[in-house]
Amino acid sequence: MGEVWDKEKQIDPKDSESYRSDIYEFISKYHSTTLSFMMTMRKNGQSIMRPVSTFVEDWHIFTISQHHQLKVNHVKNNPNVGYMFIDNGGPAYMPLGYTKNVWVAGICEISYDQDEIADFFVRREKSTGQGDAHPHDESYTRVLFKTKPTYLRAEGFAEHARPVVYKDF
Amino acid sequence: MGKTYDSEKEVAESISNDLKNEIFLFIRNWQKSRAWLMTRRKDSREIMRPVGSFIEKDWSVGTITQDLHLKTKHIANDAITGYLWVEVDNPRYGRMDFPRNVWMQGQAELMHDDQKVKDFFTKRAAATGRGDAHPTDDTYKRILIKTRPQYLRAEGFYKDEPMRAIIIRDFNQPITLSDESIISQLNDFAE
Repeated sequence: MGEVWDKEKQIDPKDSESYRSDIYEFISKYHSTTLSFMMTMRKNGQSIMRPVSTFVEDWHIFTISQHHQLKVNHVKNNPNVGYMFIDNGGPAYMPLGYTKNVWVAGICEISYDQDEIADFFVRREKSTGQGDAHPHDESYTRVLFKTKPTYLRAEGFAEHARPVVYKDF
Repeated sequence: MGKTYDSEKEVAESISNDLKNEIFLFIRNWQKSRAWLMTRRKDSREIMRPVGSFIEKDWSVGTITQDLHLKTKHIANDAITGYLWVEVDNPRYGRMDFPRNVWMQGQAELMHDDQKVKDFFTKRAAATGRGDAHPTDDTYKRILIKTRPQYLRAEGFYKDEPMRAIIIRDFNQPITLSDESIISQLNDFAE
């Protein structure tokens, strides 16, 4: 089509695989330069997003929450969630100044199993140095969001602003 | 509740009201913040991508799209949209070391009328210096996505406790800063 469209159209799926490991590495960074935001949906159908910590294993995305946080209720009512990963430190790939970014949509399961959550903290600490972020606060029950991805869209990895899309994980 | 919860809970409405101008300027400052637009597919799953955005004093937000973009189809099917703005190259806040950020959810309208699109470019150019971003490409039709907000959540703006969320639910009062004052303050940020 036109010049603008050609710089924005999706990368051919057969060429997308070459970016898979770079994209995985990018979303796996523990909020140092890659920032993550989680989207949930309220009962009234409106979406809401806020900054969160994430930990990624085998494309599954994990986030710790508190039992009284609104996002726990949202996920209970609707397990469709999304994560936006943003590079806050890298070079821009287009004139508007955008840096690498990845959108992941998925289905979220909530775990209240404290043994599983303790095991999660051990794995995260080993990998990132961060175990339980609030070990001295016993005023809430830790809750673990486990999101299985269904769709991923990444920009800034291929040429210009052309997105890489994955549906198979 | 607990210490962690208290450090993250919503601030009082009076504080949110006091911060409205600052949040508006943050969104308007396209050189210091990046925007991502959320739309919904037919199966109701959300998708986000980076976009240019321009906020007006009535809190409505405009983004230019093309007739052949998927997001245009999404909005034609489902008017619910959302914007995430994230600050770049500025000090971070809180124990998670995040930059200031704003989420806005609203209802979008697609404006196909060429004159309205032209008026948008004129207004944006006067306010930011950016008119049509691709003036030499005549291969696509410009369409304006105009989102009217219903809910806004901001973090990092309340200096005493920056992790506490600022929520704005009422957008009936427009921003009263003059155009000159807005430009002057944005120029100050740029220095």
